[in-house]
Amino acid sequence: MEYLLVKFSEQRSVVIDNYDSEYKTNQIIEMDGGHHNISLTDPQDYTPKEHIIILQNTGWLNPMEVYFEKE
Amino acid sequence: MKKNRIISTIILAIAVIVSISCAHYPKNESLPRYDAAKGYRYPSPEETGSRDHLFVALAFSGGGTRAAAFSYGVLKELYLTPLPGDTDRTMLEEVDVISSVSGGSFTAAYYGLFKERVFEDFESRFLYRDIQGELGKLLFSPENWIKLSSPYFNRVDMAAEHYNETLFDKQTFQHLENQGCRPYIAINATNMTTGAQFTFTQNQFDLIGSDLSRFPVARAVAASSAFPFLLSPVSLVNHPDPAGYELPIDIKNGLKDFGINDRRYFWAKNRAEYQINKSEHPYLHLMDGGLSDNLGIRYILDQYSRASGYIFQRKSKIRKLVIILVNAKTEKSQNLDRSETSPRIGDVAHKTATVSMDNYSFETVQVARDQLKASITARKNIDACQELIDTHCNNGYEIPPMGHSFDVYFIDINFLKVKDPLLRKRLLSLPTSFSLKRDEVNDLIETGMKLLRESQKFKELLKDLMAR
Repeated sequence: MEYLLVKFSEQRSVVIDNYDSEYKTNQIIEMDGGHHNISLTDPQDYTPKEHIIILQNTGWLNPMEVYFEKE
Repeated sequence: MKKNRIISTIILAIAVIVSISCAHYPKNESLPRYDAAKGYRYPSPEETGSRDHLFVALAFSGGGTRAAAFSYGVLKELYLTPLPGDTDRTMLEEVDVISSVSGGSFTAAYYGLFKERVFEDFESRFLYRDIQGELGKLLFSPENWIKLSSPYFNRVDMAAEHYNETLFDKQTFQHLENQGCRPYIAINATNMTTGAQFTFTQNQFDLIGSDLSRFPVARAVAASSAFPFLLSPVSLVNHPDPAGYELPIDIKNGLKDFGINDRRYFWAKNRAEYQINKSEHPYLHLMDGGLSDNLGIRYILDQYSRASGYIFQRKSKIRKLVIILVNAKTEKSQNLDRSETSPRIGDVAHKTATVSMDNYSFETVQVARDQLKASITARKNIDACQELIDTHCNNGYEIPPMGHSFDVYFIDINFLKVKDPLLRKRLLSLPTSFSLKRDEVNDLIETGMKLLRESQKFKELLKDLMAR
């Protein structure tokens, strides 16, 4: 398993590969490694609209970090 | 006049023979339009709501009637165990999913279709029956001789018809769906070409453009238990894509993962093959689910780790994750080493078919345990680090918390845990057959019940549920 941290100014559910993961922003997500499309649940008031990532070589103390800004 | 009657009789007889000999297995129907909200799928998180705090998954292994009776015993014990703190409910009602293989699929499917009725008539309708003898007799029926002469009707189709009429009351997956998909019954078979697990769910049928709702449950169970050589594979048609269907993104992404996450890559490849390459695979053939995973636990692990998995999508909500593995594995007495002469071809064939399956099953349990342990360890380590910072640094720094927080109860029920050495030896030497003696069936049911009741992990679960 790999670890991802999605940073956003609000608490929002993280969408992984088009599925609502129910994991929240600013918390560590434990998930399968590899290629993933990352976005947030509605409202669509953030940018960029999507991150496309390759998740590998992470750990719970050094997760991959992606950022969304409030529009 | 008499001559005309003879001719008419002959013509009629030929017509009957021709029509029977053109016998064809019931084809799976096409799905005209894709609808993510319809069909035999696991309910959405909105539908399952707060009940996801306690998530219970059962895995029923293969092993003929032995596995069916053993898993039935575990079901019965869950049925007799009240949910701590709620006398109106039983532990059985808390079960969210049953993933099953081969013999275990009979119990899982029967419970999925008929719920508590399983405790009234499953023993007489299935466990005590000589299914193997019945199938043997059917082979001697002239009607079946003619049907079996058709290249499109095989022994497994005959078995599926028999299960359909005498056990599953001609029910289809629509009936399972009508039961509210709780528990969700995941019947596993093996794709003969790819060697991958094939699970009878609408998500899997989307890939072959087919509607699972009118597919007989008996036929899925027959595929799940189609042991090589004894029964022929179950065939399915790979239909064109339904309107509006696209390969899910997690499969598309998985296809890029070779060398990055090979496990995910092959998971994706085995699914995508039938959607991308339809002209190469107009049909697919399914065999015993035990060939790809004889425990039924890989399906649960996929649901736990993939973004499309319904357990993954609930990881942040689950507080107690319970996995009960009912493993009817036996250990045949080993006499091969006592002889200097080389083992006979029958022994070699048996070992060839089962050694890798047994080794793989052992590894599968270890993978499941390791994966769940890693989830718990990661969360505990983050909490421990935060405590150290709070104690020694006093600077208010906060590590991002882990997004999940659940306890795992992995309950492994198998014959090696039987304390009575004579009973243990007897159970470990039972054959894989669809015909067991009544007292053997009773021993299996009693043992399944007792092992769950006496499991330390199960007792711990009940205690923790009471303390909620």
